[in-house]
Amino acid sequence: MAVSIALSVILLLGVEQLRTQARESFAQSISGTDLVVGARTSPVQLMLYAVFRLGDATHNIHWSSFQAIAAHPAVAWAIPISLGDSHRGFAVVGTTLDYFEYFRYGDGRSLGFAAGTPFAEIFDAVVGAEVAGQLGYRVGDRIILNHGTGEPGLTEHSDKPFKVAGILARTGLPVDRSIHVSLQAIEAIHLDWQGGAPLPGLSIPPEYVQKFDLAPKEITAALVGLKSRASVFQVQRFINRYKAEPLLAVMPGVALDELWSIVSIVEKSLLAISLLVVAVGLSGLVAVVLAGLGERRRELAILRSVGAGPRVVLILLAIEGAMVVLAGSLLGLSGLFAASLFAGPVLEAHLGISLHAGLSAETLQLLLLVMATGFLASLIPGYRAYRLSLADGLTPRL
Amino acid sequence: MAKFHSPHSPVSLPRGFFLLFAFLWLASPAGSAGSAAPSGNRDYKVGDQLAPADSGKAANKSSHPAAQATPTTGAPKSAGTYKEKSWDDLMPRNWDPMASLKGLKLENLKDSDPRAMEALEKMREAWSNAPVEPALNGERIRIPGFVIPLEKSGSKVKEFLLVPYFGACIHTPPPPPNQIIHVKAAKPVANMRTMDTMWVSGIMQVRSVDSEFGQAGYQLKAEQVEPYP
Repeated sequence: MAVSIALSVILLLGVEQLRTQARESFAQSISGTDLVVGARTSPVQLMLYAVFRLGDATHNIHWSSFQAIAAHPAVAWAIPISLGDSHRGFAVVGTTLDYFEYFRYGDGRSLGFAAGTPFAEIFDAVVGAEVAGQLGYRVGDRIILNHGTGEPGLTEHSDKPFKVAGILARTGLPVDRSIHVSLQAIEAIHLDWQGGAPLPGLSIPPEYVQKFDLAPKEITAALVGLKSRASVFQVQRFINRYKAEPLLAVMPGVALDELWSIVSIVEKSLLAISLLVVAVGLSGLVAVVLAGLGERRRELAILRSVGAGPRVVLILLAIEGAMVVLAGSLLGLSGLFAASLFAGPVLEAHLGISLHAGLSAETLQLLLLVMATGFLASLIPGYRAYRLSLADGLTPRL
Repeated sequence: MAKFHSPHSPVSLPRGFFLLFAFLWLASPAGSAGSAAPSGNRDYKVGDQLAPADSGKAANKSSHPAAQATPTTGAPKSAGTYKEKSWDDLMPRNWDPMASLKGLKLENLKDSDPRAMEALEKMREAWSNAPVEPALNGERIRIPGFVIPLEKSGSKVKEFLLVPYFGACIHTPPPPPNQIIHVKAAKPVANMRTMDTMWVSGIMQVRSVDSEFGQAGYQLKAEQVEPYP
């Protein structure tokens, strides 16, 4: 009995925990950025690929557009981001040194280095904590990037290996699972590529790449910080109405709200289903205790005959139900902790959602709610027993 | 034995089950979020403004901020020591962005008259360089508006912009700088979403024009943020 309640509690609290922690980890991922700029698409999609590295970019934007935005008088800083390559399943991010200086997350924390320095040479790379941890990289190691994103087996930029120049401190963000290189390096590894593949018979050795124009031509997205946060509408309008190419600027907070309002229908139905499962579990408990009453008529009648009042019987049965619910809830809670310890790293690696075992006020509230409902439900068989007459239980019927 | 499963049972199982579920649903976050969340914002159309709580205030649009009395009896009790302001109070009294159009007699102009366009351009420029009202600096004010979240911690909002009309920023040209308040909440506010309507009370800080584009503006250190109305 307690097991079925435990399972339903796991489901209910699990759904709630996933919901709140997914929100938290999304909200943590970006701070201090006023606008996210990219090719014109849906605001939610732009946020997903530019900030959370989920899904693929729809299109790139021209470097000249980025320069125009960065030169806008209300803009304090702008970080370019170029996506598209990967290394063993981890995203490669082409950017500038501004990324390490201006990017903020959580409560305005900036990125710190666990080892090494930002990239200085053209083929230097800065890897996130998760990349370094999983692949065992140290400063000075050589790595080879893949063209495209996805599973291994992609074409490699094997002629131009990178050197790990720095390792970032752990953040719990998609940054942990990224490899950062300079925009010039992104240009350099694609110099001898055409039409999505290396040109046959042509290979530009790494020592000669500097002979070519390595100024970035295109980037995927940009993060923009403003001098005054109140001027965000003006800059947003400037970007959205930019004549040279269609661009989209979104305010991260607004886009996240939009995302949650889309997801909230699913969230609510998940919560409704798990509440239903809890209700099924509790009514199963009631049914079992009710059925057991038949077997225990004699027992209860004897209790009554030695002086226990009907109220004592009611309280006894209510306590019994409450104990079962309590045991089930605690069992469920420990099951949930075990599950989040086990599933947490998997979720973090695949979705970038950091799941940690812990009791938030909301989960505690839900748990208390389940226990209170369980106690109320166990009053039902208690009331049945309360109504039984003393004579009923003492008259054997066969 | 059969007697125990007779219809005498006080609450029969299907009904008990239903009650149980209804209770769970109502008491759960989903049930409460569904009813308590200020989802009323769907009722607003683009450009809609919020009326101040006391209806008499709407009439005296051009009254000078300094002349405003403390909240009238109609105001909620939480108004406390805050002066209730309308968005018109945030525009300097003698500022008229329409000045360029007023001197123009539209009926005397020819079609596609360059003077008309010139006046329109001037008006637009006046809007985007709207001046702020320095008298508001340091005042404890209370003002209703629509919310655009900027900075979040978890599901709570720490910083947001307050604008006078629904849909500002998304569908229409942005409001002028003197119609945007950058609010920093003393305590992060839970359950706040884009375009929710809120009363914000706190201390106003006015930053005058910094010669550079878009630097003038209002900042409010919010001590209280509560749902409107």
